[in-house]
Amino acid sequence: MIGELLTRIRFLIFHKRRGELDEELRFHLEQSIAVKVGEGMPAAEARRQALVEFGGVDAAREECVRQSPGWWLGTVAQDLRYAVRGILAHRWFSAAIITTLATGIGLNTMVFTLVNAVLYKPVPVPGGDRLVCIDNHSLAQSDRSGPLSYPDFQDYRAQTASFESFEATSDEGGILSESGNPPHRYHVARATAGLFSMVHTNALLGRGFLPSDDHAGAEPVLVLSYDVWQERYAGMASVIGRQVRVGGDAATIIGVMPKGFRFPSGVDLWMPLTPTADLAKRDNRQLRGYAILKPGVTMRQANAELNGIAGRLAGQFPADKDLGVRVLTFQERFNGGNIRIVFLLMLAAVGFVLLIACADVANMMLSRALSRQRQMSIRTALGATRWRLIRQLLIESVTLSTVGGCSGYGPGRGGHSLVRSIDPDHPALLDRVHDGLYGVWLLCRSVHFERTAVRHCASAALIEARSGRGSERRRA
Amino acid sequence: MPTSTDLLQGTLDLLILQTLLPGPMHGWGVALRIQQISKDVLQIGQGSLYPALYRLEYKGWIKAEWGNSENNRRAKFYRLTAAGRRQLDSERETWDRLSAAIGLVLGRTVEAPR
Repeated sequence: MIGELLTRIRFLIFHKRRGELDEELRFHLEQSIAVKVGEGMPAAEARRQALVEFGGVDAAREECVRQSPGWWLGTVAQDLRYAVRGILAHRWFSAAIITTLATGIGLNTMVFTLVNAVLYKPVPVPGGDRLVCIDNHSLAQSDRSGPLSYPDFQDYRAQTASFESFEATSDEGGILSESGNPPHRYHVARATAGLFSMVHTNALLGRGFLPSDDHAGAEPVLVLSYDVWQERYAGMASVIGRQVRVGGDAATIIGVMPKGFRFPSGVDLWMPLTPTADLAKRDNRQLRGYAILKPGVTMRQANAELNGIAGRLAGQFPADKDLGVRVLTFQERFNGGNIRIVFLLMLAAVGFVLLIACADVANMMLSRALSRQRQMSIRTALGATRWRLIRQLLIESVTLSTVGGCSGYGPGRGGHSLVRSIDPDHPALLDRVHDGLYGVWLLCRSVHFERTAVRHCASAALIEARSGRGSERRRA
Repeated sequence: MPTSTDLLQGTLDLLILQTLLPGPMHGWGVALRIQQISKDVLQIGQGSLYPALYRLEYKGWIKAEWGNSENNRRAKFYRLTAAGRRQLDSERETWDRLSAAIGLVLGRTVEAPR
């Protein structure tokens, strides 16, 4: 009901005046007394009986106030004010807790952000979670991954049905030279023409590759990364169409990719992979395959299909004997093996740090709660409900952990920029990695942890207070 | 002397709404009227009457206005709103269903020993 909602909101904002309620209750009592006097009762006795009939006036008044929607907001605000005053009053105690929490949460946020970026986060392009890498590996000897040969890649691509697109790049160095500019060595990727469209990235300036660019005899073209464009050509738009030489071969600059785009890993210059006699050899393996899985196709299915194709090729060509294919996620390809173990160990280590921090904080809160038994017993005696006492403790610890968690955000951010400065070309950090969500989750976790502790000490305090031991011990 | 019956949770709201149906009335009047109509069986404890009135007002089912009582005293009169009327209809329906159901159950337990 909209009307009901509006009424509630109106009363939430404009509280009833206390005087109105008192006047109403007084009117009721007077009527009651008047009736009794009318029946022939003496005034004093009528008044006494009316009051007895009414029950506790104060209780009724309180109950009326309690009917108002949101009356508890006021008491929460009260608890919050009290909590802030408590934090300020016990400055050192609070500082110790906040520092402990900030260290634990900050370290965890930092490491988790890194681990998430390096090991789990999909490459930030459309369909990035379906992006896979395809490598060869020898079935006979070691388990090491190796690159593909051009003919094998073409056979895989022609025969497989698992991928939306399937492209390959070489990974080489090349010297860029032209008249009027000193030659410089760059990281060059020779790629099949569909590489940019596979990751749905268009050129910032000019164009990417056309499908015909990687055909034999096509005009040699070159695409620059944003950094090369800025550093070598000072961001001039006129760079498009310029004739340059890469490793001695002429090429025309046709485009500039957007800032931060270095796909697949730290690439400065892209050129089309045009077939050559050298490339056509089946045992010349220097390509890495990248593909987008079709929706619904699992990595396992793709793996099985590719290995079937590889098995047939092994029967046909002696060069492909004992050659297997492996489909890996992008993260497995670039951050597999030892890096993965190191990162997971780091995560486990800081996880324990957080556990220790939480245990410390819980201990400190417990010791403080014990010293407050007297306060709790007095409040219980005055009629505070158990929930009210627990809520106050809860609000105090939530306030503390919120401050701690917010202070932990700084180290978390710091760690991220640290890693970026160490390895800015790292493929996993293509975008700005930052994961505030995890911080929130951690916060909840620590709050939850403390809540358990607080609940324990609250009930302990209550039991002690009720049996009166808390105060006796003080006297003794 | 008839003992006051413990009211079922939520029944008080129904009684108040029904009492206010003929016209606006102050709290004292509501208590008196319920007592009279129920032939002194239902005595509303004032400690629960006013909280109930406030609750209904906060829900928007009744509306309070200050006016003058029969003996020219300033008093707060409660009036049923349109939403309150709808609420009364639905609560009456619920009550009818409930009491009919209880009647059925009681009828069966009476028949059982036979």
